[in-house]
Amino acid sequence: MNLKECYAHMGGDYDAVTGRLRGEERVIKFLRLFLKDDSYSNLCASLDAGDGDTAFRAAHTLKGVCQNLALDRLYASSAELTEALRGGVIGDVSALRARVETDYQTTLDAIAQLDT
Amino acid sequence: MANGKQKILIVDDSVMNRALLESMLEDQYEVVEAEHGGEAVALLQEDGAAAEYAVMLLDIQMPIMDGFGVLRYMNEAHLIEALPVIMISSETSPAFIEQAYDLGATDYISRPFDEAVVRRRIANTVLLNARQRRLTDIVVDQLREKRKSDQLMISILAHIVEFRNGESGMHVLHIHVFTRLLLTHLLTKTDRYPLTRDDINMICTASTLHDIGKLSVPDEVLNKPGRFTDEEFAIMKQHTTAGAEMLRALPYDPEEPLLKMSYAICRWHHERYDGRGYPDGLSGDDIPIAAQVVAMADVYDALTSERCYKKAFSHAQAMEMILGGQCGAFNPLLLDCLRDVGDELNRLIHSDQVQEDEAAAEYGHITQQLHNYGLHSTEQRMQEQDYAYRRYRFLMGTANEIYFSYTDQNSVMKLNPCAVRRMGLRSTVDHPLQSQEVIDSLGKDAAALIYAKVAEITSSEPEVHFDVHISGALLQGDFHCHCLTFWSGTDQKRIGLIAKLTELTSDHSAVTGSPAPELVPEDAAQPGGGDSMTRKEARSLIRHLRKMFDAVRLVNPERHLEIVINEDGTLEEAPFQCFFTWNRAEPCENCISRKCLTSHRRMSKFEFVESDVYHVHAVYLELEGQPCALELIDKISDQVVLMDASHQQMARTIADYRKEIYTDPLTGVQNRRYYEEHLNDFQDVNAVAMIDLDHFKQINDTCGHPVGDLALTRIAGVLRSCVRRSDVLVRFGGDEFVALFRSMPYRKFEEKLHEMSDAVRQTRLPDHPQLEFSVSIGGIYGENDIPDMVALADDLMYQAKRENSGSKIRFLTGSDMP
Repeated sequence: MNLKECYAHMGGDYDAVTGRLRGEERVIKFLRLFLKDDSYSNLCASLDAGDGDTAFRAAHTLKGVCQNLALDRLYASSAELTEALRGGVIGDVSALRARVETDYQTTLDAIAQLDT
Repeated sequence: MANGKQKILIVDDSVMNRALLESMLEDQYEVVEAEHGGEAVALLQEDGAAAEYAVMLLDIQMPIMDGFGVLRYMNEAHLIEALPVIMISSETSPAFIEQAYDLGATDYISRPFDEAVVRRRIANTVLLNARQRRLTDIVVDQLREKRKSDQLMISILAHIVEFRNGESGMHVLHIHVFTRLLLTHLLTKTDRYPLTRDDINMICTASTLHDIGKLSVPDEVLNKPGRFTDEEFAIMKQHTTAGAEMLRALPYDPEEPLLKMSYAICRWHHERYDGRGYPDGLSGDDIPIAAQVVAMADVYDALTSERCYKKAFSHAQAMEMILGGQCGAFNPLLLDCLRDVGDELNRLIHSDQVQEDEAAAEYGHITQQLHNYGLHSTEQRMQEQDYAYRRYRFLMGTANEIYFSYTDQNSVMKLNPCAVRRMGLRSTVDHPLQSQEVIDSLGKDAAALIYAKVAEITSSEPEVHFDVHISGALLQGDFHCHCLTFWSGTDQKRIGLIAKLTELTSDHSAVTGSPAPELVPEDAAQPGGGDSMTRKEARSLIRHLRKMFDAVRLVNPERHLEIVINEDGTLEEAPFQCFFTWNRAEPCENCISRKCLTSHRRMSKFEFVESDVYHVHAVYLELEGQPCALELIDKISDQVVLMDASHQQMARTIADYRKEIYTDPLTGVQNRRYYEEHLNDFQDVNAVAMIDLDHFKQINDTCGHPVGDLALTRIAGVLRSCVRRSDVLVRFGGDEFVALFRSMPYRKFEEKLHEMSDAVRQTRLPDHPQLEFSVSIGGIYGENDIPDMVALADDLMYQAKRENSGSKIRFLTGSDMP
């Protein structure tokens, strides 16, 4: 699929991102970088380990990256999780975490299907 | 600044964010990354590291140390003023943003990053900071000046010794030249003494202090013409240990190299290689080599100079006496050196070359100060430095600009690679003013404009800025031209110039690959334009400077008032006048703040309050458009306190000396020297009178010279009481006086001259009531060169004398002009 279709699939804002980053080429480059970004895996690992501070920072980073790439859907869920983790205490976040997992997976799938 | 790009430090724990920002900025800046606050702090910790970056982009949420931690560190280390910080966090709550601003962040860029916004915000911050750095530059300049003036004080001190000593002002210079020559030659002969170039420089500086101990020797011993008694000689010998003790007493680390070297030279410059010298009887290389060389220099200069107890020997005689062992015992190696460099030494010391010798140039200046501790040469030095600095800053501008220089002497223009490329010229062009190629490269009109603008530049305002439309063969568009000229200090001839062209608008990125111009606000294209400072900037500048100077103040020299910037940013004029600081009831005669206001140059002078000496600098500033002077005041006594007694002595000596050299000893009015040396400082003079005492010779012949002297003194006093404080009265020759009047109305001038005639006519000497006095006066009114006016007044005075008409006055006319 092309970039526009990809953004539609991920629940992102194609027009916003191409406007801000001036063109598709750069957006595609950063989407591919996103595949290697470790904030999501950090988030999962620290949640599993019960490390609230690290989990908060990881969620925060993920949220920031999503915002920059206009990955709105994943941004929304990760932002919610970030706020839930603020202060470093891991309460009952399973529902939020599940949403982030789903959105993240959708995003990865879409990026993987991008035309090369 | 590798490849001309400014550096940006990005501090963010997300690789993605860093990569994103880098991709937006890498074409314009060199990007340095830090993964977290700790790494950023480590990068900034090195001295001066913060100044390498144009801006820092800082995230808040990071491991190890967060963004607030970095800001706090920067506040503690006072880096927050040096390096602007833009926050790039995705935190959007007002509390976070506010805290970041409170900690000194300059700007806040919220997510998502928009390339255009990011670039524009950064460009703005960088520009703002460039202004801030210019202020910092002023601070740094002042630090350098301060160091310079410390050196200056060392020299002054050395010269004071010479005055007391009755030696010529050249002594220090000769010792300096001799020491450098001999040491440099010594290094080529042996590696026994591990000396570097810096060591030699330091030894030469230290050599100037070799006799400071003589401050402790009473005058009657120091200047005794005949042979010393044993007792007197013992006192004289003590100047070595006394000098060393003075240096020991300084509030500096005695291990400081210059001080240590000076100590050795002071103490041991009368030791002999055979161990028969004083004070410690050291022998051979137990005597530091520096002291050995200075000892030889001292002997040589003593022999070849006239002293109160002896005539001068010739160079050849002195060489023979030293080499023959008649005057002291020296290291055989040094004697060999002396033999080798003897001829050169003779040439350097006994010819005018001394002044021209590069190594001695600095001391040449200081020797000039012998004649004038006050301003002239100090200012000249500062101007030279100012040039060097302007030039340096000029060249530090961003890359991708067109630079060219032109040297007047050989009419050669040199161009930088960018100019070569964009103008299609060779890198060196001979006689560019006649070159059709150059004219074609600029277009006829632009070439004419540039030539005209450059021709208008004068030494008093060596810089010019203007805009020019260029329509050359290759180069086209609107440019800002900034041109800086260099002038010789002595005859005010132009030496050359350097100019740069900065494109104002339009797209030239294709040609130069330089940053997209639309991101740069327009005023950025006018370097140096608008030196005006905001109150806040001025306040912070003053705060910085106060750390380095004893007093810092803003002055409005027109109104003679201090300007105070209050905490809340309001401006206020101080309720007392600026000259009160100097215990004066009237404005300073030599108001450097006023001078710096007119010349836009840095000025300096010495001020004396009781026994304290102050070094005052004035720097031109515009405070929100209003011109004013920033005065930086240093109490010199704190810097060069030797001991309480000698400090006071120094202050007195300098004050007395100034008074002495510029005052006529008989009449107490200013002397001819004052007139000659201050000629350029007399401003607004529009009336000149030449006043000659009638029949003075007769008084001398009939009543004797003591009565003649008394009469002259009395008449001078009467004349002085007739002129205003702002005017200048000079005893020009035997019975001739010159009065220079500033901004005087013509009618008033006439009145003044009559007043003078009348006052003199009424003067009587108590012991010789029969003597009557009168003067003939020539007065010339108008504005012209003062010496020309004096000559015209002199002619008129002779006319008046011939016609016995008392005074003769006229206006300057066109035919008087050369």
